[in-house]
Amino acid sequence: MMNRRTFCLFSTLLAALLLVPITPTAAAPAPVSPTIELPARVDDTGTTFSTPTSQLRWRSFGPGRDRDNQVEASVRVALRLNLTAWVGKNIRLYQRMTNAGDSGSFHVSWRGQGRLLPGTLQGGGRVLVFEGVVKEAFLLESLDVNITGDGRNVAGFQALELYFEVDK
Amino acid sequence: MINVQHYLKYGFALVALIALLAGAPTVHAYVVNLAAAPRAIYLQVGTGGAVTGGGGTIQSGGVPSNSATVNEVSAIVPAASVGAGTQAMASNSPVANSIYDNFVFCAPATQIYVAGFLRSPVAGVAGTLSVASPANLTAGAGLNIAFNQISWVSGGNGDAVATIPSGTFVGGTTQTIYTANQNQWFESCLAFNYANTTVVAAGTYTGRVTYTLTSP
Repeated sequence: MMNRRTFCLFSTLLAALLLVPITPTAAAPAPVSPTIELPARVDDTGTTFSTPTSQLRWRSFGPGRDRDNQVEASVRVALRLNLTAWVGKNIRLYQRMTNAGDSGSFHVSWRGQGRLLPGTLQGGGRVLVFEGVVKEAFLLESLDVNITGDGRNVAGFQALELYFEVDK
Repeated sequence: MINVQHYLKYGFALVALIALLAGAPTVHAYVVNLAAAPRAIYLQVGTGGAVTGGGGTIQSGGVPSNSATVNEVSAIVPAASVGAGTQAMASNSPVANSIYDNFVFCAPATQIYVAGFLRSPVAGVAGTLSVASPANLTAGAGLNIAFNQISWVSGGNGDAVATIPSGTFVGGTTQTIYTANQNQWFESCLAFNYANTTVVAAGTYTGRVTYTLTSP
């Protein structure tokens, strides 16, 4: 039977064992490498836009003899992607657009300053924008984004939701 | 003093907290907000305003300006022909070319160019082209010709079927003569005729019709 002092020592060791996996210390034999389930959305906190709302405009002032419902808009996006979790790792970074509402009828294309590949995608799709080793924790890029679509699908406002994800 | 049971509680509590955070990751996305394209409507009957910019046509990005011109169609009926049947009417509109692409479309000596479009972001919206005509053309008190004596034949170079149908003025009311699809250019050339089926007194009979394009 343990005395009170022995019991306290044992309890301390037990607690330390329990806490090791979640509070690794320098004394731990091997650092715990967090695994991130893929695909993983990238934190884009700090991303800003040239304008909060982009005005859709008809592709031409007057339509053609065939129906012409096409509209377009553009916006400059100052991207700030937090890639801290992948520094030093070889990754594939994709841009994806959700398929919410009528966004499926819109095409989004973009061109950056060279840090990300240009591309085009539609609601529900994704496009590879970067493949390689992450060298810095934050990827800063300015994207000129152009949107085209059927103007009859936006009677009021439409929100297009895009995000970046790291995947295999 | 902390006993084992307390340590275990803290340990499980901490693990549970981390598990909770790991199970509810923050959802990141950037959202591009789009505002609907503006509504627009345009109608030209006869002489229109100049198309400015974009190479001078709608197709090339030009924008038409307003025009206050009211054109005339007329017929001179010789005394011997009064009441003797259809008389073609002449037009004083000089417009021969489509303002959409400058295509030679109408014969200005006899036809009136009618064109327009409706821009709307609302699916299914249509434009209504209507014309209001008085009951009669008049040449003074008691001298009338019913407006339903005037009709038009619609056409246009290259159009196997005219966009705006041919028709006859009802007179004394507003009638719909064409339903315009949204976001689609329409145009036709209207040639007018006087039925001349009744004998009327000599005089100059006039009346004005007004074309209107509306959209909800």
